[in-house]
Amino acid sequence: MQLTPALARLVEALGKLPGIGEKTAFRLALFILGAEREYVENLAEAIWAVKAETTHCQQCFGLAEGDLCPVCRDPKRSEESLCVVEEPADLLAVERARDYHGRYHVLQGVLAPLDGIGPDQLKIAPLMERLRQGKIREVIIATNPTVEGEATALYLAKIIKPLGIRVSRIAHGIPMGGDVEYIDSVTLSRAIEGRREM
Amino acid sequence: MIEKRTAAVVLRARPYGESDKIVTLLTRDWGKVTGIAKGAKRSQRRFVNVLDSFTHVQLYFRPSRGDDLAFIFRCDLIRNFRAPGQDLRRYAFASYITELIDVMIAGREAGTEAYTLLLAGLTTLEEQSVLSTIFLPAFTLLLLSSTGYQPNVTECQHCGVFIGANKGASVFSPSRGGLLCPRCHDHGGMTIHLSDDTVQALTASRTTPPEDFLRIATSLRTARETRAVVTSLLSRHLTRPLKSQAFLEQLEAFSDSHVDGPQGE
Ligand SMILES: [Zn+2]
Ligand SMILES: [Zn+2]
Repeated sequence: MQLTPALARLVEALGKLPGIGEKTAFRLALFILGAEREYVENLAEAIWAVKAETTHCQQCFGLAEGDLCPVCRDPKRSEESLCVVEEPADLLAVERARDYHGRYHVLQGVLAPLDGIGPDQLKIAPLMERLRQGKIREVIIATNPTVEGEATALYLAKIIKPLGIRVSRIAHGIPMGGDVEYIDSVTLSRAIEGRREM
Repeated sequence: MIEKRTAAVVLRARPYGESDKIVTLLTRDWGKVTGIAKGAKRSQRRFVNVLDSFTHVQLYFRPSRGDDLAFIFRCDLIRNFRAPGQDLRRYAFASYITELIDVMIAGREAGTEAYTLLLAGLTTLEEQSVLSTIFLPAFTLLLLSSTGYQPNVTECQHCGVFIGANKGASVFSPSRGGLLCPRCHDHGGMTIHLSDDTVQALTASRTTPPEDFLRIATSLRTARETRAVVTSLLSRHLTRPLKSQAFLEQLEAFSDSHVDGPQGE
């Protein structure tokens, strides 16, 4: 197939997006080609802006425009509860669940001695600084249930508890809608371990 | 090439691109294998909870030709070691022995000895309620031995005289990789004085099964001297300090229990 250079360039760029194959990239490119000029300008400008204007929040290290992210700027969010996550994407995932009304702290990674990542390479010092200000009463650790995520949670609990702050770990186990019969043994034994009384 | 099957321990796994992972394992039959696990990051069906570091698995793979990556079809769980996720010190130890294996073992030539040793190390971390102070130095010593860098503790490295019966006068010469008899103390550069117990422990390491040697009870002095010996030998074979060493030391800084890492202090 012989494409004009501009169209070929767009197909190639779109094809690098996650989950987009060549066929879909071609369809999207044709759609853009046929769309209103205003829409296309807006799309191009939005793509450019997300890269140019997104920074890290100076308080929680989530994604922000300017100094503070929307959560840190929101006076309605509880200042007593802090949810600690690995990456900005995890913060957004918890936000999507809409059930959490406290604040966040993004570590920007996990303890991974094999990669030379220790406490100093993570945003742990700023976390401790926030905790020492005295408003936060509970820390919820929402790192991933991998061995690195578990070790990071242990480490945080160890240094936070002496401050007299409650530390909890998010539960992990069987996904909603899951089927006990088909759950792998590791997940199942964790789920049993983390059972709660009814 | 057809699909191969072997037991293996996951050393590490890294995300690769949008949906894959690159995994390094120490296998029982094929030495160290690095391969690509397609879809391991996104669809987890074939790889759920089996690619975490320190996991013991049954690996189904196609070996690579030359420097290419192997292709990993599937991993089945044999044992999920829980201790590293439940105890920071054990996490640091597991990371250390895994990294040590990774840097000391080059590729396919590794025999089953290193594999057996790693498994013994992880099993000890999992099962022993109080770790022996000699755990890390002992592991390092056994790994050095299995890779051909075993310290010689039977004869003088200068004059060749049999040392076994010589009590109380043993010095270890890192540059000569073994002991010196009393007459030859000055022929080994910097030396480390060893107690009889330590010489005994070094000797025992050759005949004791790894899982037993990693659990032997020794005096703090023997643990320290063994650590000094393996640290000096290791520094001759490593081009850079291990990354997990820094974490061990940091942990030691706020931990009430002392961590006996090689190279520590
Ligand atoms: Zn923020
Ligand atoms: Zn001699």
